[in-house]
Amino acid sequence: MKKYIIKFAIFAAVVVLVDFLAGMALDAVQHKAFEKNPLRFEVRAMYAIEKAESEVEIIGASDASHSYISKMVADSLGMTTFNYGKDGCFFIYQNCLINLMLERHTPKVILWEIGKDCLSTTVTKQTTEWQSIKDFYPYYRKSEYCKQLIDGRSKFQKLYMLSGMYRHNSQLLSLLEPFLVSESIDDKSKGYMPLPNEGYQYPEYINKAITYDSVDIWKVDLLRGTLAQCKAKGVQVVFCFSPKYKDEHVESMSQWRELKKVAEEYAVPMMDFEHHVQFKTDSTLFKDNAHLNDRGAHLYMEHFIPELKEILSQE
Amino acid sequence: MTFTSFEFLLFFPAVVLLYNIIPQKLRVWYLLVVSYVFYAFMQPVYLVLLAAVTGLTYGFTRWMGATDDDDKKKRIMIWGIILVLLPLFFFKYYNFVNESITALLAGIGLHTAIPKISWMLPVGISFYTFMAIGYLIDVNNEEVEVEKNIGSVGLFLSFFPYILSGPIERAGNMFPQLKKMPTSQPADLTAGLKLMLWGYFMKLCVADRLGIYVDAVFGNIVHHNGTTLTLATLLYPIQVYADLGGYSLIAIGAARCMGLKIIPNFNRPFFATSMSELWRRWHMSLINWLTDYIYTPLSFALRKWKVWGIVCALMLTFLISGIWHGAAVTFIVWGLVQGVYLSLEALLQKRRSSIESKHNLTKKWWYVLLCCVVVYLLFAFSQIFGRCATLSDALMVVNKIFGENGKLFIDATTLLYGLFCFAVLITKDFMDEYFEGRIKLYENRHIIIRWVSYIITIVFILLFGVFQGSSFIYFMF
Repeated sequence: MKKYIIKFAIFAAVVVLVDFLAGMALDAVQHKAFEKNPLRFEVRAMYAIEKAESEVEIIGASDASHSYISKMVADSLGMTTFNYGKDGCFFIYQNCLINLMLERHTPKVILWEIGKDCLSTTVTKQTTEWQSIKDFYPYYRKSEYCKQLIDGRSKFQKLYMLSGMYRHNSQLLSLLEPFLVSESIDDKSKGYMPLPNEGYQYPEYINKAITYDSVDIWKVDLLRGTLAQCKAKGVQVVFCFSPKYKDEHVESMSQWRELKKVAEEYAVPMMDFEHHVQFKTDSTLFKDNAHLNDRGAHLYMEHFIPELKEILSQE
Repeated sequence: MTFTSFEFLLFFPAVVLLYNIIPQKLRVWYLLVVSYVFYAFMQPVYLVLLAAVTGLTYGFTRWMGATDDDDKKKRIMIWGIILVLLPLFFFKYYNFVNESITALLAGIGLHTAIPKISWMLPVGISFYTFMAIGYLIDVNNEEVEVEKNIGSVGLFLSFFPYILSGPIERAGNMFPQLKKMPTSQPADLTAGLKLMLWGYFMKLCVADRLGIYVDAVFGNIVHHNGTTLTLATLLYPIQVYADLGGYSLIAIGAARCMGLKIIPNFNRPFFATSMSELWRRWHMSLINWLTDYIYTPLSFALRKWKVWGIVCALMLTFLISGIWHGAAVTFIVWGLVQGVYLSLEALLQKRRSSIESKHNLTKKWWYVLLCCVVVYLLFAFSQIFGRCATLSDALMVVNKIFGENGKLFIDATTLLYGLFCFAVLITKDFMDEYFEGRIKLYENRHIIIRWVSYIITIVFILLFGVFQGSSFIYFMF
């Protein structure tokens, strides 16, 4: 048995060494892959953190990336604009992104498609809320904010993060893609990702209340921290709610009331187009119940931008 | 705490270490306490239920042991089974029966107000209930001796590797081992850890990875077209195999680390060339239990009906299997579909064998492949009813698969990782099935090759595994 324990200990040491070396190699590959093609969708967070220089930054999930036409905003406001919206990347990701961006660069305006039920406990418990945090693993050791946020994912997250390979979990394809596929991506669209206007069935209107009504105090504190940081750096934050082809009755829920309270506390204007009459009566403006198609996005910008200009002129 | 949680990775080595340190005669009680602590992490309040079922099983088997009269023994056994089944009925089936009766009465104009219960289903109840019933029947049939040590009975029903999702163990296999409670040998630890490692690969890299896609599609049936639903349907059996198969390997490996050998649960099911063969390879502990305690006695009782007796026995056995899986019409339909498949096979068996031997088909690779594919497709189709929450959802899926084409919803990253890992899994199964012993990796005589194999598996788990993801599918049964 003694011999067995020694063998096991040697094996464990070999595994740790392989993990460490593989982690270092993958870190290097990640950096090279990013430099080869920094505008790829998969490395949007890295691009925002390391290369962002725009005056107006659009933050959010898929409803941001498909609804806000950076060029239209830039042309109207006369300010450089980039849409950092990323599909499947929700509240926790968005907070981390803003804070890490602010460590290097200070925009003038952040347009934040935050989501009316973002402060809900139920949403926090969903796996999707945390999965996108992987995008920030490269900054775990470089940013104290990032480290604290990631460690908060679970009791043992600190231990998971010791592993070099775990930091690159589910990222291998993304790391290797620039070397396997020669695809040049230009930044003409400045991050905006239009959805097609046809070729699918337009959605049917959904009128169904969500069933959860709860506030996650941790998320409220997270939001307060982010807004305080923005305020300290003189960044104007605007909460935006793009049109949806559904009504989930979130406005009667406590998480929405809490969001409004925090927004008021930090003087954050709210631009709510979610139930705008011109959109909720026309399904052809939507790809699905939650996302505008390109035509819908253009129409939305025609309503959104004048109101935004008015708000910014008042602030 | 589940097998894939970090807590378990700290809990398990400590348990094994202490197991080997404490005196042999205390090991049953030690593991009993550990198993109850493990269960308490999931649902502490239901420990009382587990203890109650243990007490009933122990009491009734001791009573049977003290009785010489066979008829009285049988009556005691029946009462024991009824009492042991009561909690399962109450927690799992009460609402379903209540709703069915209420709907039936409403149909004839009678409106009742029998209250529902909204208590959580005790985890593992289907598994330990079946184990308790199996033990009661085995004592009645004098296939096992009555166990006088209540600690051993308690441990048999609650042993932490298998309590949550099986395998459904047998008294005849476990009690002799529990009497010995051997010290872990290096060979046991190595064998056990290898099984656990492969189990983790199956669960984290295949089941949970493909589950991201399958769950996303089945969670939104209304918005997905037939093409997408077809793919999700084809992937679902792989997800279940990797999930329950992975869990079983971790359970078997964990027990093996303590020198205890648990029965296997899967035997490369996707290489079955008939539905009956599939059911000899898929969830073997359940199907063996059903065969020994339901099918065999039934088919014997109905033997006068010849092949139709077999058909009836098959239909009833799989109806019970469906009901065991869940209190829903979908599971009943699922069970009946399996019964129909097997009944048709039974009825056509002679004809099939004759054609196969006439043309020597079973030696032809293309015929074997064709049979495997057909069996897989039939099984995948039946799993629609096991996966969907309601019958109308299941029928919607079926209608869309056969009537609504469209653009395939692709989550490229998930599918690529998942299918790559499945390719690794199926290649291993293929080698084990047709070239057993030819290419050895985990079992290679060279330590370098063995270690490289283990390390590659660990690398796959760290790079492709889904961490902090879903629980095990069979926890819900």
